[in-house]
Amino acid sequence: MNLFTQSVISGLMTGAVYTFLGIGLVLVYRTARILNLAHGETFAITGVAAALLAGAGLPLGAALGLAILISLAFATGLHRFVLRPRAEWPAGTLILITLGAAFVVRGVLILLAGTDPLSFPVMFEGPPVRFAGGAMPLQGIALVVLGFGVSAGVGIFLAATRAGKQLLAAAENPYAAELLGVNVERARITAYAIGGLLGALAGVLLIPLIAVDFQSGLAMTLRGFIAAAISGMSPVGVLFSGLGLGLFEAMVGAYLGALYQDPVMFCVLILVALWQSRNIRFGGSRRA
Amino acid sequence: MTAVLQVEALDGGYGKLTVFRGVSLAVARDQTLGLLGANGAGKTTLLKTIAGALPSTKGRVLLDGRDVTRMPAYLRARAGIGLVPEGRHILATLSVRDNLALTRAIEGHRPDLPPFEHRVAEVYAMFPRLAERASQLGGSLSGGEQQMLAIARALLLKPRVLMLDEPTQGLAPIIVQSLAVTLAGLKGRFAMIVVEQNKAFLEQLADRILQVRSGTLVAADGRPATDN
Repeated sequence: MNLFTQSVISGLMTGAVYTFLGIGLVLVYRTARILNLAHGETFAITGVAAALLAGAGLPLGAALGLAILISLAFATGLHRFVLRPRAEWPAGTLILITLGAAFVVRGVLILLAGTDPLSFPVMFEGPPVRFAGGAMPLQGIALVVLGFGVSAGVGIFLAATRAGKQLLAAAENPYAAELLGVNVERARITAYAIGGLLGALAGVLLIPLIAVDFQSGLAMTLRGFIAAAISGMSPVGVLFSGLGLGLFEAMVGAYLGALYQDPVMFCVLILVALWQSRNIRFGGSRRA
Repeated sequence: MTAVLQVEALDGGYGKLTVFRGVSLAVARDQTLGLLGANGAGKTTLLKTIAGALPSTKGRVLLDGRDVTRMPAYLRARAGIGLVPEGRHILATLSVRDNLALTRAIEGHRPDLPPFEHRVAEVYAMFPRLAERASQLGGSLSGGEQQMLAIARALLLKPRVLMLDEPTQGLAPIIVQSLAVTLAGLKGRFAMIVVEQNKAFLEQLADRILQVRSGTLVAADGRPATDN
């Protein structure tokens, strides 16, 4: 096996996931001006729910569908019932509330599934595709194709459709958008729903390859945020930053060792935070 | 006089702070009402409250006799209340054309609307500069062009009542004069409320002028306004 090729393959797969998660964070940030630290929980909820439902005997397709719906309900419910009623609160407080929500989800996942990693069968079965000394499972190919395809689709939705432009307008200036007849609240809930759906899709595609546990959510939020921040919270830029981050993390794991991945990623987070601290602003106009 | 917009004993402000109190006014379709007042008098807060961007604490807002007091701003815009806000609030990262196209959110809620392309052609004929700058970002326009864009957006809503909040603010005198001519050309198509500190500008446009003083409306002679 060629270590470099295999690292690239691994990086492409995790990069696709970070892109999925980064876009969700960007959409919520741009429409509601808050960083949703519970965003990665959509990944963990989907994985745990799908594993439990499939383990209880539900057909895999039904288990995955139900798990995605639960994740969507969490993402939109967090906005509708927790954040929106507190729209006038300071941005920092709302961010802490999302962190609290992430820990609540952790607790619920431990109660429901315990602390051991869980998984469920892959959707795309078959022998891995081998090239240049590396091997890529069919599920991994689906993850990369869907990850970048769906993410590019979201970018096109924002840039080229009426609904997408309404969402961008609601993000930039909710007051002006409302005066032009745009339903800003619907734009925000759409952003949370798209984010929840992308987080859930990431879970459905990646978890059969790596497993999931109660701690996965915050780790995914962290990676998604780094990708989002590198892109300057751009829904198009995150496509490339997510890919770059996935490849970088895979190379660190391959050449320095898996134990170095988390410390290196935290260092990247600090550097990105310093670099982007002037560009990324929370708060401002009415949020959540 | 059949009022398109009727405001009855309206109170409003920010949270517990009441900025204006007991405001009553009525504007007919062919009328232009001028509101004159110093900074902090409550003019902008009043317009925002009529437009639904701020909640009222007492009183009613009626559009064509229909009570819209509890309606959110986007529904009032769809119903026909247009506001050109103070500071214009152009969407800087969207093109001129996209700024205008945002008003398509009202389509489907107003069956009487002409097709969007017809409406855009009409505002481009009124403001040819916007047609020239159609693909340019809103944030890159000059102050006068941004004001044109803000008015054009409101016109695309096919308003029953158009409110303009300090439209001359920050504009060169020559542009102010051209704006007065443009707005005078719109008179009679819908009811208008123009809030200004520029008395000469208001006198060119308004059929009658009321003053806003410390959150209450008073007539030009200083007596409380009994507008309706």
